[in-house]
Amino acid sequence: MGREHQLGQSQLRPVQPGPQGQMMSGQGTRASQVDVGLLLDAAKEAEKVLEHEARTHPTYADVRHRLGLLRLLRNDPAGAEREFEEAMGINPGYRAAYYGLRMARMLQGLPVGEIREPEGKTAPVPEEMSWRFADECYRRLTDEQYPKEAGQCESETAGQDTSSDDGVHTLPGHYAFFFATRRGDEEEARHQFDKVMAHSEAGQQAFSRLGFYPWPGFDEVRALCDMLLWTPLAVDLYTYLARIYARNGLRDKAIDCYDRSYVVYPRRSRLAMNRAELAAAFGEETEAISLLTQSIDDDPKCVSARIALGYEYASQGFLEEARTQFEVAASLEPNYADVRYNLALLNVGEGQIEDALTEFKRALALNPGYLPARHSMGHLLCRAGRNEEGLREYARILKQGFQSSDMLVQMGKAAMALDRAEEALQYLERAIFLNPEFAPTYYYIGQAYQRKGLKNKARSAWRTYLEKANDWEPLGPIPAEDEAEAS
Amino acid sequence: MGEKYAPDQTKPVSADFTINARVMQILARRWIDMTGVEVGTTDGVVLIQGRLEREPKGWGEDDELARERFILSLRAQIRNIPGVADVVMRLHEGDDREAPWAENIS
Repeated sequence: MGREHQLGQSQLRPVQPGPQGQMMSGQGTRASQVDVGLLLDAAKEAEKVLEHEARTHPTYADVRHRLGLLRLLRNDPAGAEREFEEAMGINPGYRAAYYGLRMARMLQGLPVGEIREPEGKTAPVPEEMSWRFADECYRRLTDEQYPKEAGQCESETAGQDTSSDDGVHTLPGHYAFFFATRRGDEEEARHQFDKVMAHSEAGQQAFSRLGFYPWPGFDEVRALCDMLLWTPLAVDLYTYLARIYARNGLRDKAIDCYDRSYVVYPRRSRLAMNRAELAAAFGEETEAISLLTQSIDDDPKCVSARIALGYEYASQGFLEEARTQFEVAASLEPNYADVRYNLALLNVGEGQIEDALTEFKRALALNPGYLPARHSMGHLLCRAGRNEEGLREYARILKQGFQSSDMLVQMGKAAMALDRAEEALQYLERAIFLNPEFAPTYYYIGQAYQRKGLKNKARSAWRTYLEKANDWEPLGPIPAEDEAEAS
Repeated sequence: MGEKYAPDQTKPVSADFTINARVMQILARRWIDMTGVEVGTTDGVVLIQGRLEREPKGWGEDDELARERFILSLRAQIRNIPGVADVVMRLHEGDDREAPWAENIS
C-alpha cells in the first residue's frame, strides 16, 4: 500500500497545545462563571478524566466512545479500536461507536466486513448520513479506488432530504479538499477549497482562524490538515475539548476546537450555537443572543438554539420574544416536556390559567415523573381555588417520594381552604420538621391552630413567624396578644 | 393575626418564568449536563431534580467534598436571583446514563 493510501499516521495528531504561557491563565474571564486554573493540554486532561470515568462507571458506553476518538486523535488506532469495541460491547446499538470502530480498523488496514452493523433505530439523518459518507470515503481509500469515487460520494448525498441542515451538503466539499490535499493533488485541493470558501462567510472565518485562509501555500495547508481528526464523529471530541478549555478560561483555545469541529463536520448553525454558549459563559449576553439568532437563521429548525434563545430573552425580560422561541420550538418538537413546562409558566404569568393547565398537562403526559411541572400545576390549581384538584397533584408528588416545606405549606393552605384543619396541621407540622427556618409555615400553622381553638399555640406560632420572617417584613405593628385572642 | 401580616403574596407570578430561565442559564454556564436534570420554579421556590453532572467533568470532581462545595456555591448563586425564596434540590446519582441513539437497547 502506497504512502498516499496509509491513513491515520500523520493527520491524526493531538490538539496542539501552543506556547505554554498562552494556556496558563484565565485572563479576561469572569471567575464566577468560568473556573480559572492551570491547564496545559485539554486532550491530556480529557484522557485522565475519561480513563477515571471508564474505571468508575464501566457501563458508560459514551465514555468509551470518547476515549476511542481520543486515541484516534493521539495516533493510536489500535487503542481506539479497543475502546470502540468496549463501547459496542456495553451497548451493541451504539451507532457512532460502530462507525468509529470501522474507522479505527480501516486506519490499520484491517478488514471491516466482519463488524456487524447495529440493528434498529439509526441516528438522526444529518449525523447518520455524515458518518456513512466519511466511512465510505475511508473505505474507498483503502480499496485504492480513490480519488475518483469521492465525487461519487458527493452525488450520493446530493438531493437527499436533510431538512434545513447545511452540514450534509457541504461535507463532501470539505472531504474532497482534505483527500485531495493528503494525496498531494494541489490543483484539486485548491479547487475544492475555493468552492468551500465560496459557500459561507462562517466557513471562511473558521478556516481563517485555523490558518487555512487566505491560502498559505500547499505545504502549510497539508500541515494544517494533518492536525485535524478528519471524521464527523470528531465533533463530539472537539466539543468536549472546547468545553475543557472554556471551563478553564481559555476562550481562544475553545474557539479553535469549535473551528476544528466545523471543518470536519461543517454545520454553520452548530458553530454559531457553540460560540453562543461560549459567549454566554463569558458573560457576553448580547453576543450570545446575536449568535443564537445567527444559528437559527442558518437552521430555522434548530430546536436547541431556539430554546437557548428563549432562555436568554426571558432572563433579560423580553417575555414576548421568549414566548415566540418556545412556541416555535414546541411546534418543531412537540415532545419536549420542558418546552411545554416553560410555556405553562409563561401562561401562568399572564393569568391564562386554562392555557397554563393545558401546557402543564402536556408536559406531564410526556413525562409523568416531571416533578417540578406537577408541583407548579398543584400550586396553580390551589391558587385558582381548585384546592381538591391541587391536593391530588401534591399527593402524587408525595407518592413519588418527594416533599418540601413550601409544597407542604401549599398543601396546608389548601386543606385549610377546604376547612380541614386537622389535615392542614399534619402537612404544616411536617413542613416545620423538614425546614424549621421556612417562616411562612409558622404563619399558616398559627391559623390552623386558631381554627382548632388552640390559641396559645397559635400565638406562639405567629411569634415565631415574625421572628423568622426576615424576607416578609410585617406590614404593620406586631399584634398584641389580645388581638390574637380576638381574631 | 390579620392578613396584613401574611407572607408577601403580591409578587408577580410571571417572575417564576424569568427565574426559571435564569436558573437554566446558571446551570448552562456552569457546564451542567442538562440531559439528566429537571428544573422548575413555583412561587419563587426553585426545584432541581436529577443528576448535577458537569460536562466536561473536571479532574477530582467526583470527590465528595469537592462536589459538596460545588453544590453549595451553585445553591448560593441561584438563591441570589431576585425573587428566589428557596432552592430545593433532589439530586441522585446513578449508572442509568444511555448512549445516544440506543433506543433499541433496554
